[in-house]
Amino acid sequence: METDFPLYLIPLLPLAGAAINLLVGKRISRGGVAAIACTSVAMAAVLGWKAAWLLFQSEPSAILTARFFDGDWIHATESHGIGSLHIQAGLLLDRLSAVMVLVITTVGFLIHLYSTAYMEEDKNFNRYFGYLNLFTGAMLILVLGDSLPVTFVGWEGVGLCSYLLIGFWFDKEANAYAGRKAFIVNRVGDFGFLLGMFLIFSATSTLSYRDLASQQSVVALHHVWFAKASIATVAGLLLFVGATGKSAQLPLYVWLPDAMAGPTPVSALIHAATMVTAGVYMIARLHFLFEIDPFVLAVIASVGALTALFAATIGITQKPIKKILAYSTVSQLGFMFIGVGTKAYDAGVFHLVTHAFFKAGLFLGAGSIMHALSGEEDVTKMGGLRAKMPITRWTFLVYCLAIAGIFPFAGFFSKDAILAGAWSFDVAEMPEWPHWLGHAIYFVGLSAAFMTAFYMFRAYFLVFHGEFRGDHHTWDHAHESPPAMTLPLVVLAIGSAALGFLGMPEAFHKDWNLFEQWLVPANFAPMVGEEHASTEWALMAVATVVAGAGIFLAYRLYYRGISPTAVAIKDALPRLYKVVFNKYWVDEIYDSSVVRPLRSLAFVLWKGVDALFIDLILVRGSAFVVDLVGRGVRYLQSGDVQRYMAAVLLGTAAIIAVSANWVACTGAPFDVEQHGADVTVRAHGMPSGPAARPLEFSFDFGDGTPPVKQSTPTVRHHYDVHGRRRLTVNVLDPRWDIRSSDSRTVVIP
Amino acid sequence: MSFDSAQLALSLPLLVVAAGGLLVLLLEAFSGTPARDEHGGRSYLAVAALITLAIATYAAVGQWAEAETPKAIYGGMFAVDRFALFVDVVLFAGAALAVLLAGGFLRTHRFEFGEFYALVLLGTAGAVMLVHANDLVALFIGLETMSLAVYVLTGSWRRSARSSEAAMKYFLVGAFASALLVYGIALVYGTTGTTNLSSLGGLAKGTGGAVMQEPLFLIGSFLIIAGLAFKIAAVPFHMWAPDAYEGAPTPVTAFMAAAVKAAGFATIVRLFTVAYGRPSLTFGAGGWASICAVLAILTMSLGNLAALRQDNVKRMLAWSSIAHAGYILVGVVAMARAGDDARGPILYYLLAYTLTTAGSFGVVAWIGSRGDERQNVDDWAGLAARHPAAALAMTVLLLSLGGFPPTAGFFAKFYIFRVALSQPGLISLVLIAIANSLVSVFYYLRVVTAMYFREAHRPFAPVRASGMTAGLIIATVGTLALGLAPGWVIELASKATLLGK
Repeated sequence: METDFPLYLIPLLPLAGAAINLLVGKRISRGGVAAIACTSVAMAAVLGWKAAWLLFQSEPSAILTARFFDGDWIHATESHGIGSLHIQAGLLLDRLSAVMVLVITTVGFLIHLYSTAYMEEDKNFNRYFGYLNLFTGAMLILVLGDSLPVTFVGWEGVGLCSYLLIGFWFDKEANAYAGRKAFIVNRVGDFGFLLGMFLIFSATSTLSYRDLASQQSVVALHHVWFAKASIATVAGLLLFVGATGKSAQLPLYVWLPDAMAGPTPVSALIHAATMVTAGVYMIARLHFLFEIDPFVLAVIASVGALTALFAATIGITQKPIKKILAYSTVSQLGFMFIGVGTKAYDAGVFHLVTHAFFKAGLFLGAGSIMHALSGEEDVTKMGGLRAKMPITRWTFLVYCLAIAGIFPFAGFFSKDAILAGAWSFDVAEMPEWPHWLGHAIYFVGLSAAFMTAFYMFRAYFLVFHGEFRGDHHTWDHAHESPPAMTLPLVVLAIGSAALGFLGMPEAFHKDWNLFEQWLVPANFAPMVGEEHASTEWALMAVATVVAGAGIFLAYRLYYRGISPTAVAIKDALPRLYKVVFNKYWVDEIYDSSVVRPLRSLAFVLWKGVDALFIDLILVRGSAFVVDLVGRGVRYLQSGDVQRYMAAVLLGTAAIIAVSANWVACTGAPFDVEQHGADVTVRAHGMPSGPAARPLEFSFDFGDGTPPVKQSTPTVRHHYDVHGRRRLTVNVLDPRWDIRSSDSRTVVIP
Repeated sequence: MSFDSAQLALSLPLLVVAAGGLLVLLLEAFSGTPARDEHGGRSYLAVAALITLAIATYAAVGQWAEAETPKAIYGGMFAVDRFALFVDVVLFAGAALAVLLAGGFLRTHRFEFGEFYALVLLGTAGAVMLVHANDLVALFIGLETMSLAVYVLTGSWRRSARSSEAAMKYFLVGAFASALLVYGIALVYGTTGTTNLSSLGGLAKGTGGAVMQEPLFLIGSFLIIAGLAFKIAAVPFHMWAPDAYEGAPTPVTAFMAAAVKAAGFATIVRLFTVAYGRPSLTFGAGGWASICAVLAILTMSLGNLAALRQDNVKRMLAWSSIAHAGYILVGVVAMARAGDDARGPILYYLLAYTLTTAGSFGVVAWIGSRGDERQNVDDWAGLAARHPAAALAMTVLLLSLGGFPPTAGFFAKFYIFRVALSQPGLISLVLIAIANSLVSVFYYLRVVTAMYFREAHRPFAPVRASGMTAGLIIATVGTLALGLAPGWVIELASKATLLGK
């Protein structure tokens, strides 16, 4: 069932807020700017909830649709009707996008609210909120788009806002660099996305999600592209490249840790809760395409698992609290990709939702801590803050329990669902992959979960317990944040604590997994290979024990500050520590393998192509030509009307003269075909079409015979003489009475 | 010739504009404002003109569905088809923008007289007639009605010597071109015995087409082409344009560059499609497409090269408008082979170009103050710091003129070039056009860099008028909207039927 609903208002409201705040925000008071920004998102949230309520009341397959405007947005027709492109600026709300809209608007609103206090002192208050609103609008377009191009508009829009907000304080050079790095790394991914989109279009002639899901398109996507790879394989991998860029997976994750240069609420909204999940959403949205070749799914799950583990190891050694959270985000996104890669789509999306709450909360909590400590980021210089900041502390603890996966906090349920999905991942259709792939991914994920619990509680204990390790001025100054900041913390904490119950495992009760019931019948085929309840219980028990072990280890090492044992472990493994602490030198490797060669190439292009060819030859040369023409024009464009009229007259005369001479002059040239003494002469004659009065040809063969006069351009002649003869064709255009001739020498043997 | 109310109803857009023009003229006479009062107080005339244009637009849009099957009325002289209606709306948009810009400009420079608005409407009426003309005589009458109004408008700023000079030159060269045109019509009539475009088309298709190879007929056709090339300012018939555009009051320049040019192109499209459909008349000896191809190359290249050297923004835009005529001519050439497929892109270009060019001349009108028109590019330095919205609008419009996405100008060029590329043998023409677009970026961005990266050396005192602000917003937003959502317009344009086709 398809119902019209003004969905376009959902993104347009924040976009309108952005327009107001960016264009005239300087003339509005700070309160006004904040009110516009928050209200626009709140109204979008209300509309989103209303739309979701409509879906809730209808059958699972019901959708809401809307269009920004009637008619085509992009329209191109080929003369034969093949490859015609009709793309409408259409929006689509089904149960999957409804989940996304609710997360974006609800969490987004809380972060807007938080920002009103956090950014209070900033002189570019209106610019900040303009960008934040712009981001929200773009993100909503991304999830609401009913076709790949509409989604791509949002995809690029959020990328732009991410760049603008990472470099928000661009007067510090490092921040500007971080923004640029994010933008450039994302371009690599976006290029993959675009190529994937083009490939899909070339195979199916459509880009709308609903048309792509049709039987006809799926059949077209099955076609082999090259070797054994089908179009779906190549397109799926290309789209996944796009996902690794936007969602910070191996090998394109490098921009996300640096993105922490932006204001902390930005990290919470864009680089934790919403934008970075776009890749997960896109795969869930196009799951039918990725399922065509299970090879692609296995790639996705494996990359996710490796990223989860890889980033978690780095998270253990980091000192700035935002870097810990950044690597944690990369790691958690890896978990989501494990989910969608092992066909546990509901689990992946569910983790996306719970993660949005607890990770946004963690970032906002970190912001609250930094706010209290005058911008201090290093956890080794904090400690004992539980006394000064009770609300921040308790909410932070809830988030940590949630991300560590302790029952009954949200992360427990979503992470468990993902690990269960990985455990039961069926690789039977994939001869390329070992049969134990699912189990391997499970164990890698489990190790990452252990590390997650450890590094999160390391951070928690270092910040809130033990003695304060910074200077006493900072300590005296430390205070709890204002209500506009603590209120979102509390709401997010409630969400992090309670949301898990929406997705209770079937082992508890077979009807209690509300999230799966909401999503799976509507968007995905039912899960295959569900585990028995006993296996599920066992998996949950293992996960809980592992998380508990991580927390316990953190407690032993960091509860009273950095324990001597922790230092001893670090000193015992100096090489390993150095490698991990330096983030495996990935940035350095990229620098020497990609950035530097490109720079060298750019240098050559600059000196060779730009300076020599373009500047010297093209610019100077064209300047010379332009100067010459300019002088000529200036001479003609003297202001004398007489001269202007002369130009009109000459122009007309030129048209007539050229046209009149045209036929006669182009008609006279001829081709000769010679066989001994026999020649065939073909004059070019009239270019085309019947003429009012045909051309009159006169052929003079140069052998003393009288010229042949006729009105057709072809003639045969037999020479009775030998040697070189001059062959001449005369043409008369009787209409204009203009003559023309052409001649050449023939040699008669 | 039968004459009934149904025919009147079909020519409603024309009647509304013409009647509105006369009404505005009378309104002032009976208003009681001292006739030569220089201090304005005539905004009600602008409002009346806008209402007229709105009603006319409504009438044109209302006929869209009906006009899917083209009709000829008034004894076959007047065509009612979607092509004409689309151009009508473009013309009304151009005229409305000119009226919106005019109020503030005329008041600032103290020559707001009532006949100004009446003349804009009457000129538009002439343009509408031109666009609908299915007969060479009707075509000539429409052209002259439009031209006479525009000659007067060009010289309406009587205290400005440049305005009078521009009007004089425009009129003299225009009269010369009209003479060529009417002589051409006479020759065509003399050889074929008809002035009706459909009849000429029938002749071309039938065996009687032989007469269309006769020198007298061809010379007549060449003279008509020369006359129309004058109207669209194609090189070498362009020389009046920079002087007239620069000297005319800027809102009039906007009207000339937008509406007059659009009407000229619409006439060319109709004439060539309907009357000269015969293949032997398109390319080759005396073929209009060959002539247009040469004109296109000359127009684009010379227009851009000359614009490069201009320091005066208004004159630069005048040359740029010449260059743009060259790009549209590429579409006209493509029409010779692509037929109906090329008409949509040309219509899209006309709409995009009307909004963009009227808007950019609008900013030129806005920036000046009494006694100081600030037309030099140096006068624009630092505009972004003081008036960011205006600088942004100008940037969008200039980018559109240069053909950058996501503006209307990009898709206008894209569609034209695409249809030309799909025809054999036009690749070199498209390559020349693309090279020209590249060159044009230089002088458009020169203004942008001046606005954003240089310091203002004296304070700005731009025109403050709500009508002008509205006009600039409409033009800029329209330019962006057409670029962001080009699909539905090109779809609409590609459904434009043409009588006799």
